[in-house]
Amino acid sequence: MGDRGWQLTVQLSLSIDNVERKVTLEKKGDTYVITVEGRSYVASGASISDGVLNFFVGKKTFRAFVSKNILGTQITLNGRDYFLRGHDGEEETGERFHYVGDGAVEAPMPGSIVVVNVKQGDQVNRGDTVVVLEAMKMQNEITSPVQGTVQQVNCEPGDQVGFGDVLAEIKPEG
Amino acid sequence: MKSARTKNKPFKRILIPNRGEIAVRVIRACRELGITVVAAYSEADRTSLHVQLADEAVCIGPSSPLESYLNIDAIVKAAKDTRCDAVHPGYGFLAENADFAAALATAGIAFIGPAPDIIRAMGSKIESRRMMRKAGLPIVPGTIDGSDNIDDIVAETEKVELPLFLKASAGGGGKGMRLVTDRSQIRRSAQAAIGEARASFGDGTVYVEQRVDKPRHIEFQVLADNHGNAVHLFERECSIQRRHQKLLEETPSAALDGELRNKMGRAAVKAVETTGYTNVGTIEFLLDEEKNFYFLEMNTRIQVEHPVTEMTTGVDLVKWQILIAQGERLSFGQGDVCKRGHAIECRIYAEDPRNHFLPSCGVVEYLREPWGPGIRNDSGIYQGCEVSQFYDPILSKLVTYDETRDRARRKMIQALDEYVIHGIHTTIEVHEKILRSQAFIKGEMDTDFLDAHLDGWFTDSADLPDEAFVAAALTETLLGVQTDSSQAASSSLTPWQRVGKWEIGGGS
Repeated sequence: MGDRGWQLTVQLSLSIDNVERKVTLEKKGDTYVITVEGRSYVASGASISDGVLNFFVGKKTFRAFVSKNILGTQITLNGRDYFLRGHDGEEETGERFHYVGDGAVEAPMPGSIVVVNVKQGDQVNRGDTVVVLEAMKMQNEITSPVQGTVQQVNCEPGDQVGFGDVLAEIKPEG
Repeated sequence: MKSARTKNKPFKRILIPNRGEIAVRVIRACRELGITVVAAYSEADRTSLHVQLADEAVCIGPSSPLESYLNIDAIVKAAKDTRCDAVHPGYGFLAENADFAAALATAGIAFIGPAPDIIRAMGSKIESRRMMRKAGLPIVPGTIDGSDNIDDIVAETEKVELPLFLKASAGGGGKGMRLVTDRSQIRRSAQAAIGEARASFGDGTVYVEQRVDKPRHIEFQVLADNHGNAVHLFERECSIQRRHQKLLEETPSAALDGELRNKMGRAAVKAVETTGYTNVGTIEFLLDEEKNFYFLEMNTRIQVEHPVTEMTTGVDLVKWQILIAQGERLSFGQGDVCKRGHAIECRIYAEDPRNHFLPSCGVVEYLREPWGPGIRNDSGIYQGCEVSQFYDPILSKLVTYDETRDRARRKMIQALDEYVIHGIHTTIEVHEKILRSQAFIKGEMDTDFLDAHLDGWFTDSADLPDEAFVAAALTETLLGVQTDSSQAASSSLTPWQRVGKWEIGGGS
């Protein structure tokens, strides 16, 4: 098409590891001009095949490995993993966020409950161990996100629980 | 009692009641020796790599290890039913279980490992300390006898300098272990150690050991046949640990010179000869800052980190395990064993270093493995496989070999850069940080190194390079286009669709 063809501009707000950058992408023929917080890069020869993203910036070559999976869009570049989130009010990965202050103690992974340390009415501090969850042969202490009173315990030793299951509910103090 | 073979009669069929990368490693060794392999697997592993690679496979029970990989009756029955003449236990699970070895012997099936009585003796820290002291090895100062009575233990600690460890005799992996730095804590710590030991191992016996300050963890590989021949295959350094879990191992150790290496090696061989140990084994030592070494424990199985020894000595330890169990003689003596170059192993775990190293299970959605001269990858995964919550989170072991330590280190960094695992979190990046640290480069690390330094490593994201965002923008653009046409099934909205701020113009 050459650089007299259609030009597309899109504004993205990309977040990697919770760092957000305003990124503008313009397609000019076969090249893309990508501007990150005011710094522009001309990327040419960009293609993705079998999860491998190749592109040039000038003579410098880049090779990244990309996939969309349960963790989000995962990009590996020069040996480092980046987890990408596009900016959007209703993110599809929103359920992975832990809402501090809400008092729900959630299972961060599937596993089996080994120990339940609290019962209804107990006072707990932020960081206190609520349950011990065994996954992959390791015992993981799941702690209270808040200080408060235990309102409900939803599991007992021996239970198999899934990712994100609410194991206990704490009513935050104050 | 001991009925180890001394006449060489090759095995025809070997059962492997294990999983993951070690099962794959053993399967390959068996096939190379012309032996038929039967994988004994749990329901969770029906589609795992080791099951696919074995000649035959039998399910031994549900996913929970207690009902499958730890179920002695089910495994012995599977070995009989499939007419196997030997069992290779791998590491973990029943690899150091004397009852299992004895049950196989009763069934007339060979256990590829040492005799049950020595497995039992080495499984008790108290008994092994006693035996090694008798063999003339230095042991960590402390008490010889243990007890599960709090008052007895408190009395014993009076004789040992602070700081000290209370350790479970049946222990391992940091369980049933307490560090005491203040006499006023002793009673409480003893109670905790006894309770944990009882809960974890069914034996509350605890003993007292002085803490060795800034210790390095150095272990010696030994190999002994059933004809009285024993050799050592030099050391491995395993000081890079996180909460008593080894992460990275190498050989040779930067802490040893030729003289100390020979001295420790001779001690290891003496331990084997005195105790009548056979097959492969590892003598673990602690080395203090003054270069005093102390016997820590003996592992009566193949170690996770055995590949670094194989790379530098050219000896295939897994094959020798099988050959020795068949009754074969070692074909070389100590004088024939030589080492060359340097090897490093990085254990790749399914853990999230950005989130307290919590286990990360799920599907390996995308996999690229490094390769090239001097790179070895002992792996138990494939693209599309599921990493299950039920088992140890080790995925693979990446090993590099080169002429010098620094070249092996640089080769490892390069190989890690080319190792891509998506869909679960892994420790790949942790290794890069370790390998680039000044302490590692200088060879100055002890077993507390990582716990002391790791904290800040994954919290600073201020150094995000622009090219990551360039790659991210291109990914969203190009994958978005693909999603529309060829891979319509594969997923959700891209930022293009979400943001919806297309500006289309004609050459502004």
